[in-house]
Amino acid sequence: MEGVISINRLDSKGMMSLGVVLIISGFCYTAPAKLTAYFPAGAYVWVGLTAVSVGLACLLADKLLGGKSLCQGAEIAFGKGVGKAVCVGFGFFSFLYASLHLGEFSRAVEAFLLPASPRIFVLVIGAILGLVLCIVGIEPMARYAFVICIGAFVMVSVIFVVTLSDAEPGNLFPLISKPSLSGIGICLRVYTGVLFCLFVPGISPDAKSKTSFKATLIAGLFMTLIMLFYNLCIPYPASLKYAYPLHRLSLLANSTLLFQRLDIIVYALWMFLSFLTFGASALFACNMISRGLGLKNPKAIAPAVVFLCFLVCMYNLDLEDMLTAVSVLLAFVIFPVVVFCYRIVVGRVKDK
Amino acid sequence: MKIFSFILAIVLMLPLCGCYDNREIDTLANVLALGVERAEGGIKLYTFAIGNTGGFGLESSGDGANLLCIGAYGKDIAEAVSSADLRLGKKLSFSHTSVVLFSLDAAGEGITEDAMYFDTNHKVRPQLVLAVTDFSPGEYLGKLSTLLEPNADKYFQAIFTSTQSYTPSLRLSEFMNAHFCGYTVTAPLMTGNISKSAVSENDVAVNGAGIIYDGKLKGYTGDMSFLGLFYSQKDVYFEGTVIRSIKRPEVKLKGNTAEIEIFARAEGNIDENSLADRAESLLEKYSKNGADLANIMYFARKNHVFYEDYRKFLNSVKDIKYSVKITLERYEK
Repeated sequence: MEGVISINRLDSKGMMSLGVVLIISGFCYTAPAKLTAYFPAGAYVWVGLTAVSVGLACLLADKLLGGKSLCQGAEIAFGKGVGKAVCVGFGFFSFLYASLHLGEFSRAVEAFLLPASPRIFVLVIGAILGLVLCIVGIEPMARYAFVICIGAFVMVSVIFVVTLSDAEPGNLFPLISKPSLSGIGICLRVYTGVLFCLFVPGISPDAKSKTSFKATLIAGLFMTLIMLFYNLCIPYPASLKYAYPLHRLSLLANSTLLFQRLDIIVYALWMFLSFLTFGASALFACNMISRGLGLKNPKAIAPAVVFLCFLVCMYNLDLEDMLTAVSVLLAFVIFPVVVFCYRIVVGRVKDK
Repeated sequence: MKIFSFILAIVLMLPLCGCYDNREIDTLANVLALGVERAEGGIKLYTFAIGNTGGFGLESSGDGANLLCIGAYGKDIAEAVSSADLRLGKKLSFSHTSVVLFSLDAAGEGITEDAMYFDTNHKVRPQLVLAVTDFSPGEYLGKLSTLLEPNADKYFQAIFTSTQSYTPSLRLSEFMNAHFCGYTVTAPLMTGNISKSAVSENDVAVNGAGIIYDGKLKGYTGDMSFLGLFYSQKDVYFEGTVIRSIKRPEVKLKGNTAEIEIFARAEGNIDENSLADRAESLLEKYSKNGADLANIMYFARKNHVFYEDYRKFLNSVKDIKYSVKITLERYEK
């Protein structure tokens, strides 16, 4: 199973940065608004709690798998056939993830930056850049991700500082609302980017150690802060009315001599995070599908995968519900079953 | 491969550098201020004060030359904008709009639709100020001096903050939040003499507060002292005595009674009880129109930890009674 695409050189910092980018990129679009619908003024609490829970689950999975990926674990536990099926399944998930991000990006750009332009124009730019990243490979992407992670924290901090005058602690009350299954599903969906750290085989053991745990916690902090500031600055139910919360926060910033219009920060974030996420998840999709189907060169199917993503976005298929369902299936069924069966098999081998 | 990627990146950057929509500055008409007033036949008159960025056939200097005012009738702002676009041969842009002035009758009819138009246009800044005027905003904008043109934002800020004591302010974002949450807000009420041929910033002032609830002007008051005491930590005047809130009022709800405690410093002697009685009668006067000047509903949020309890409270609460207590800390100059 090893060696279809070499990502052994990926170090811990690179993989962690990529994990953070893959998680947070979805949160800069409509996810906070969807969470607000389920958790009126306390969505940030749920985002934070989910980060800790997912982080601990990843830590446990890493320990139980002993440095192996979930695909390798499935192969050891259930045999080669199931291992390949898990690879293809995760490839399909990566494909959905890539399409969702290209779609979110093109919708946002169409709504705010190029309202009079045809959608195909935005999609073509996104798809070509994604394809270039896909061909360039994982290592440059990881280096690029590290820079973007730092940039995202700095840029979003500027928005927080400047909107602080609009923050009203009373908006955080009532603090607790009844959790709903759909709300928790969306919370979990937000963190599915971390699965890339767990599923992808061929990463060096050094990069594996606690990478997913750290990536989840860092991304969780970032997203909890965005949610907290949105809840602080815009009271419920007014907060339901804005589809792009981070963009709304950036508009709220009082114009000063230094900062005239902060929405440019959000446009830049969308651009950098989405291209990287699209490129990385498309690359993972190619990699996993090639492994599953026994193809030798994953780059060969990259244009086809990117073109399929482009078509899915062009016809505006709603992937959010499907991705949420797949995420919950991965998190609650495939993930624990693979890990525990792997442990049982490994335990039996040791006993013999 | 690296060279190919590099060339591709550069080529892809080219269309991003320019504006694909091809909107140049001389094809846009930048609206600096907007006036809204009621006209006959159930429609409104919208007056757009447009900065002269060239292409209007106006001189760039001299009296009244830097501002072009164009009026358009319409049943809503979208219709008026289309009509103005056609007449000007340019596209109205609201990215630099600083203030929207509503006449009393237009505000009484409702400002939500107009505000919503701006709120959904991401190029409009949510810091846009909404104000109410007791004169015709169209006539006022038509007579504004050329001082407006260089920086409309600063020009109106100078009017809205011309006194040291409290004057209300209402930003578009505050109005939208209040509208969706069912809160009451106060807008600056501009009054003045605009009968002259040219009006300067000294001819008008904020001398009152328009009380807006449910997207409509429910009344207005010239007595801003209590509002200042409640909403700000600025100086307010009661019969020559200077009072200033030390911190935010504390509001507790006991059944249908809202207990409000105001903590303030007073320069001189003034009776707290008579002040409290006046505050209670002011709050009750406007609560009859449905307005909640003390924003009890907002403070009620803090009294509830569980959202479901808060929702039950909102459904049950009716006819709030006010009980105001003012605690004054006296000091001598």
